Amino acid sequence: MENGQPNIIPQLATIQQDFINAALAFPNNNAIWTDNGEINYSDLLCRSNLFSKWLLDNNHAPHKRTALILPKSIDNIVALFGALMAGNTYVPLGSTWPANRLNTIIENGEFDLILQDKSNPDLIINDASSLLLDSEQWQSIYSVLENASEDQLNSIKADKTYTVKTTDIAYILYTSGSTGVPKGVTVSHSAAQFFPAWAKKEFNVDETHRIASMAPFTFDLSTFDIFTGLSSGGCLYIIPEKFKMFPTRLSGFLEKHEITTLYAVPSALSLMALNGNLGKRDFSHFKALLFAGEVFPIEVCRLFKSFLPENVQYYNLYGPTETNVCTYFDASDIPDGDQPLPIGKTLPEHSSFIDTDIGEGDNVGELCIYGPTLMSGYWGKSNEGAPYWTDVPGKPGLKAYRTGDVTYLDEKGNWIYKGRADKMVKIFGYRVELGEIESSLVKHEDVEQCVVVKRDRKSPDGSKTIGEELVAFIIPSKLDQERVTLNKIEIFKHCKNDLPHYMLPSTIYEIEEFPIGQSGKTDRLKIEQQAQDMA
Amino acid sequence: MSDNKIQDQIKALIIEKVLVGVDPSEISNDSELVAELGLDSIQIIGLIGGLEEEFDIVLEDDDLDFELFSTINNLAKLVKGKL
Repeated sequence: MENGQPNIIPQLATIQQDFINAALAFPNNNAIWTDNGEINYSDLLCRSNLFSKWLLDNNHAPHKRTALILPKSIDNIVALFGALMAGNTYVPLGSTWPANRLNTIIENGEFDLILQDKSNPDLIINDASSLLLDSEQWQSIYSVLENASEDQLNSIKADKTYTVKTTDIAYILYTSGSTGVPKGVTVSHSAAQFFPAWAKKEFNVDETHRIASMAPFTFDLSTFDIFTGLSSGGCLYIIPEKFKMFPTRLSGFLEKHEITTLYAVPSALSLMALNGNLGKRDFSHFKALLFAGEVFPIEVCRLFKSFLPENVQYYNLYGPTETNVCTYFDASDIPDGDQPLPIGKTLPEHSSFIDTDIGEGDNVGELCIYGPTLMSGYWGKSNEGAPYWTDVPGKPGLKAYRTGDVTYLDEKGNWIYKGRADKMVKIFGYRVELGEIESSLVKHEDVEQCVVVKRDRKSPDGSKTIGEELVAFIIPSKLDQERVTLNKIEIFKHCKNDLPHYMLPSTIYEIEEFPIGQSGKTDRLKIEQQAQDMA
Repeated sequence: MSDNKIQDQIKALIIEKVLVGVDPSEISNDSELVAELGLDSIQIIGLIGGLEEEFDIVLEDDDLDFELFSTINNLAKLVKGKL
C-alpha cells in the first residue's frame, strides 16, 4: 500500500472482459439470434464460463490453440469466448473449406483441440486432437445449468477467468498465401481489443443496436460483429447461410429484424442495391452501415446510400488482416463525380507513411502502418514473400507493417487506394493470392502452365461494375505431341479440393502460349488486358 | 413441354450466361449448381434473370430458396410450377 491507497491493478482490457461486462450489465437482453434459437447475455456468459472451466479442468488450457471448424452458431460463440476466458488462442477455420486446405493448416497449426460438429459429415478430421461436439457433448458441459438456482448462476458468472497478458495471442486468422500455404495472422490481446472498442465508441453501438452478422468468423470483419456487438448489450443476428445467395432475401432479413448495424463487403451491398428490391424495403432502423474488404465503385456506393435514412453513419473502413482496421473514411458526404472513394485517415494512435521506393512517383508509394492493431507475426515458419516489416523513418526500433497496397494522399489528407504492389486480389472482399490458385491448377496433369488474373466483373444487367472475378489461362499438357483438350468442370473440381469457393476461377481459357514482356518474363498485364477484352 | 426439354433449356441457359465455354456433357441435371459447379451469388442472379426471360415467368421472394436452386432438375420443377 502507498499513502493509504491500495495498489489498484488495472484490469487489462480484453475482448472477453468487454463481453463479460456487457453480460453483467444487461443479463436479460437478447445476445444472439439464429434461425435455430436465441440466447440472452446471462445464459451466454454462463455457458462460456462453463466451457472455459471444462477446458481448464481437462488440461486443454491455458496457453493452447483451440481450432474451431464450426458453422456460425451460438455454440461457436460459446466455444470462442470459452477458449478466450480459459487463456487460450481461438483459431476459426472454415467449415466449408476443402479438406486439403484444412489438413495443411492442421499439420502446421499445433492445435491442442479441434472442435467440430456433425453438420458436415464429409469433413470430419481424423486427428488425435479432434473433438466432435454434438448436442450431447454440450449438454453434459452445461448440465449444471439444468436446475441451477439464481445464486448458483450468479456464482458461475462471477467465476474468475484466466488472466492473460497483453502479448498473449487472442486469435489466429488464416489468409491466402502466395505459394499455396495459407498464412496464420496472430493477433495479441492488446491488438484484438483496440478495433472493437474504437468501433463501439465511433458508431455509438449500445444496447439498442441489432447487429447483423454476415461475415464468416474466419474473416476479420467478424471481430466487429462478435466483439463490438457483444460488448454493447445489443443483439447479434446471425444471417442464415441460405439467404446470402439471394439479395432480396438478405434485404428482407435486414428489414424484418429491424437491423440497425451492418458491416459488410461492397460486393454484397452492390448486389442488394442492384438486385435486392431495396426500393420496397423499410430501412429506417439503420444507424450504422460500414464496409471494407474491397473497392466500392462510387456509383453503387451512392446508390446504396440512397436507400438508407439521412442520418445513418456510412463509413469506408480499410485494413489488411494484419492490422484489422487501420484507416477510416466517413462516406456520408460522398464526393461528386468519378473519383475513387478514399480509404481515409488513420485510426487514433496509429500512424502511416508511404515507401516511395516502388517507383511510381514521389507522392505514390506502398502504404505502411504502425499502431496498436498490428499483428504479432505469422504463425510458425511461414516465411514467404517480400519482408512485411519496415523501419519507421525517424523512429529507430519501431517497425511498421507493409500493406502491399499502393496509395497516395489527396488534398484533404485522405489516403486514396491506387492498386496492389503484388499478385494479391480481393474477391467478394476475400484476400486471394493468385499464386495459391496457380499452385493448385498446375498440380492437375492436364495443366502444363497457367496464369490466373483478375478482371472487372459486371452486374448481371451489364450496367455497372461489381467487384472483380478470377480468370485462368491454361496451357494444356501435351500427350503424344498434341495438346490435350481440357475438361473444364473436372479441372474446376480439382481446384475445389484445395481452394475455398471464392478462390475458384469463374472462367477457364485454353491458350497456346503466354505473351512475354520486356523483362523476358510472362507479361501478366497483357494477359489481364486479354481477359478484360474477352469478357 | 416435356420434362427434359425444360432441363435442356435451363442447361443451355446456364452455359450461355454463366458457365461459358463449358461442354454440356460436363454438366448433369443433378449436378449441384453451387456446391459442385461453384455458382456464386452474382451468377445466381444472372440465372434468375435468365430464367424469367426465357420462360416468361416471375420468380417471387419465396421461390428463391436454396433447395430449389440446387440442381437443374429442381429448377425445372420450379419453372414448371410457374408456367
